[in-house]
Amino acid sequence: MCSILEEDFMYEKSTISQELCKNIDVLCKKCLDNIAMIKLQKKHHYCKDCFVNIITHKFRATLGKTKLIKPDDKVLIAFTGNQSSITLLHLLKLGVNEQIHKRFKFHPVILFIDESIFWPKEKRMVDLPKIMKALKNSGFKYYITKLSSIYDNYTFQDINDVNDISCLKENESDNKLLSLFHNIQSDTSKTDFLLRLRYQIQFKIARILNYNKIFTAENTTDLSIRVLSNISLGRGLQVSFDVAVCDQKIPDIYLIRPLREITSKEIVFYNVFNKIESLAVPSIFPMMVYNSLQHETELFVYQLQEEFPSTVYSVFHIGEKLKTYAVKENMCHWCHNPILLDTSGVTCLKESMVHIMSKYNWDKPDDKDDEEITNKNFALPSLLQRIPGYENAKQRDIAEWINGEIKKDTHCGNCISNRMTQKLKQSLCYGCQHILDDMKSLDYLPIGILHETVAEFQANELRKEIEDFLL
Amino acid sequence: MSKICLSNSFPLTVQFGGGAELLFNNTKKHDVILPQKENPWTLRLLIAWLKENLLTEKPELFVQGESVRPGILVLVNDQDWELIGELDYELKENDNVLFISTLHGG
Repeated sequence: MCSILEEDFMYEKSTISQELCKNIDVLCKKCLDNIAMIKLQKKHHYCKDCFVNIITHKFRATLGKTKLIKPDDKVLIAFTGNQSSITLLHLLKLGVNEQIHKRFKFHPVILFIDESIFWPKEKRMVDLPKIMKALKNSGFKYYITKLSSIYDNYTFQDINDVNDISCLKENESDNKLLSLFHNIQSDTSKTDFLLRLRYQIQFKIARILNYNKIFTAENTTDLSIRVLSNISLGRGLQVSFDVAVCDQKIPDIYLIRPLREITSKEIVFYNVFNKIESLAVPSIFPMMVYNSLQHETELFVYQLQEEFPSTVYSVFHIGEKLKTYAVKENMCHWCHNPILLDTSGVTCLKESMVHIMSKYNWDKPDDKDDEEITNKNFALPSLLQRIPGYENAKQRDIAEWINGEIKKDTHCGNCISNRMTQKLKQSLCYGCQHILDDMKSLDYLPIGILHETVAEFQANELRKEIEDFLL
Repeated sequence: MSKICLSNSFPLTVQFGGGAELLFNNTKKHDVILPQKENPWTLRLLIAWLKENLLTEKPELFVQGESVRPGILVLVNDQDWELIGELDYELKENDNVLFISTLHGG
């Protein structure tokens, strides 16, 4: 029988509140010597030094657990300038300057992806030079690219002069990217698209530079929010990839998350204690995309966390336990996550497909809406025609039931154009299809992405066709 | 903002970070002088005062009820406010109060 009585708790509670009233300083739980500066999970008090040691240890332990980093490996560090990535940079810098027996033997190289087109202009002018300075001070080699590089074949620059930020000046591609984002109707899809876009750029550049390891600065809180929002976005199949310590979506590249055991509160305190200034602002504030499902999930997690301090850990560990048994060949061509091909058992998928198709009938307030839908369906073929050799490519019919649904929809007149859109969609996972559905027009999608997606898809189709004849 | 010390004033440094500064005129550091009161200034009163006097954008992104929104951390002289009584902490002159947002949109 449980021997803990309710009075025990009552007593404990009253002593704590007395302590607070008297403003008595609480001592560090570890060294029992210094005044505690941080309280974690409402029960662990630590002083500055002990806390910083704990974080450094967690970081090194996570890296050690992966057993992937070999001496002399070159690792690409994805840097955005946010609080977590600055912490990552600081921890790496400490690691390579450690005493010889503890020193990191791999070589970090930074990739800074500039997202400042979403920031207010004045902030850009002030903060970008600061980021450049932080990169320079890190002492590592670094490359700079922009989000809009998807329009310029993933170009990046290797810069030595800190004051030279001319490569980050606004150009035509930036405007295209802004139009692309304005074109996406819901904040949910905007946020999701931004996340996938970052990964895409990291993968592409790692490939160009011939690196096979990438470090990202995602922390426990980020990842637990990701678990829940992935499920709500229909990306449940991808949870295990998106929170794994070593994400191997792409067979030849390891995406490693060394900060996954550190929460966002710990990150903030680590930065404050080490007097590191936060540089970039997260996407939500400048873009004001706070109507998204992801942001609601974030608030939900934080709200629960206030009452139940283990929320973040619990959700995160649930995500860790999930496994995907997916076939490697069937990957989404945009986010590189597995696609569920046999959807016969997934009734909700079919339901939501029918819902999307009939959506146009349901909310059709005036003729303008109608026109928009038609434009959307015509936009893709005109784009595809610009791709050399596409015309000759063999067209295959799409799955029967999707076809049936489209034919029912009288507003989408042209069946062939629909089939083209569907072909593109077929090569995407459910979550990415949603983003595509949310775009008013597909005109702003980079031609490179379309080219690649369709080409890869065609190659896959061809492979399947000749599979039986191969020896 | 210049710092003027009057005999009946209560000087304080308020700082914002992690994106929260965008809600406060894009300024990270504010040297504020609170009006002298009979009751002591607590963090609860400070948050209400900030909302009325310094906040320039969307209050719902900063406050919730009489506290800050979950996800915004409060540090007084680099110490976690959970250790010193949260909203009931009595501010002292020249305290450094730091609000850092960890919210990023999911």
